[in-house]
Amino acid sequence: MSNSIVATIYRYVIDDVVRNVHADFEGHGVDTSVLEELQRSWEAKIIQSRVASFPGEDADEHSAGRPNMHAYPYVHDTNGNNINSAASLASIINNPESMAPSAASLASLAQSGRNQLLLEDDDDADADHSHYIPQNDGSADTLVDASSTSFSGTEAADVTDDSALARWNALKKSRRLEYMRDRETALQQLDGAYDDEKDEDENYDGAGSAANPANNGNNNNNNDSTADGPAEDLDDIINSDLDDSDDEDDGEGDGEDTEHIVLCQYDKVTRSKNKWKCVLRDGIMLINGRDYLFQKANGDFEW
Amino acid sequence: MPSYYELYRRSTLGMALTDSLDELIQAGHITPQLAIQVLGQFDKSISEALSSKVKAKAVIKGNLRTYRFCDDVWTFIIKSPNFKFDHDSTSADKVIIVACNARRPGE
Repeated sequence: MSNSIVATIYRYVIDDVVRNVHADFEGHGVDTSVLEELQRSWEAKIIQSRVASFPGEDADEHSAGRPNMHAYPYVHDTNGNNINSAASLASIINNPESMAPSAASLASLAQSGRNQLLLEDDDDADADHSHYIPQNDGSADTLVDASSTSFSGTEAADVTDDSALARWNALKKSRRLEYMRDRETALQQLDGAYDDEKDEDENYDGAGSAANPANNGNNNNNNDSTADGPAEDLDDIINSDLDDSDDEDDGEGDGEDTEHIVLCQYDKVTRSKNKWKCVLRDGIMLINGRDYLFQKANGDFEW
Repeated sequence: MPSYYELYRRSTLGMALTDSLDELIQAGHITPQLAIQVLGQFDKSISEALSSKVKAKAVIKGNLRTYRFCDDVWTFIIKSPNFKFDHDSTSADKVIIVACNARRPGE
């Protein structure tokens, strides 16, 4: 498997980051258990993304050292990963060592987590995309307010906290679109025929959902998507059968809206007539739901 | 003190880290500043790992649909790309390549 190095590299990066931010956590007065929770949560997401085969996934020294790793299911429901955050919260609550906020804010955290779960059951596919907006202005505000009490020891910290929070939210927002795409890829990869936006295998959508009940954290949403299927089916069939060039234009129209992405650096980009040659390096590729890494890659493209 | 590209935050690994950090922020366990510091460390760790630990090579072929060069960043959209790795190959309907300059300004 050519992406077998991926697991090794990811393991190295996770450990390297955790090791190097240890001092930062101490500097911020954050307990080590929070860092451990970060590592667990990060690992769980990577494993659940299934972008690579993790040999240690079932039984190895890593999971042995972190017995709780599988207690954080990264639920692939069609609404995102907030169920997961509720699970991590529960673990933090259960962990007396963690720097937990006051009991009152814990209760509110747990409560809003539960509300979110309930809301998600009623979300339809459209609401899916606006899922994170209420988090920014509504419930998230409550969460931050409730928890900020534990950080309000110094006023100076609060002031910088606000601007940093704004920065973080901006940062997060810019990732969110990417994330939605990545998540679609994960779904597509898991059941093979669940690409309800563009895939011409749309007709298999229903079968795909039914055949993979384990992947569907939330049946309501899957039913919604399946119900949307036939209409999109017609669109797709019309586009692909009648007008190929139109189809291509569509592809170009939302040109960056693809789930296959290569992130890398270039040494050289040259062109002669319509032939392009690129010398690329240090790349991460996400192709068909799998991650690949390269030290060096040549790109030969015709325009 | 060299700086590192934030490019790789869009990868699976970077996205997962961002989400995990966000959960900790929402829960009030860490501050956004600390989260930003962690992402900075991620930029460094992933960049170093890619340049020093990965030896794999790849060839990408396909039809170039769109190219863009802006702020020293190349963006290519390739139709029907084919990816050849050391031991296998794969293809897709479309891929977007985002490439920063390997030679950092000032180097």
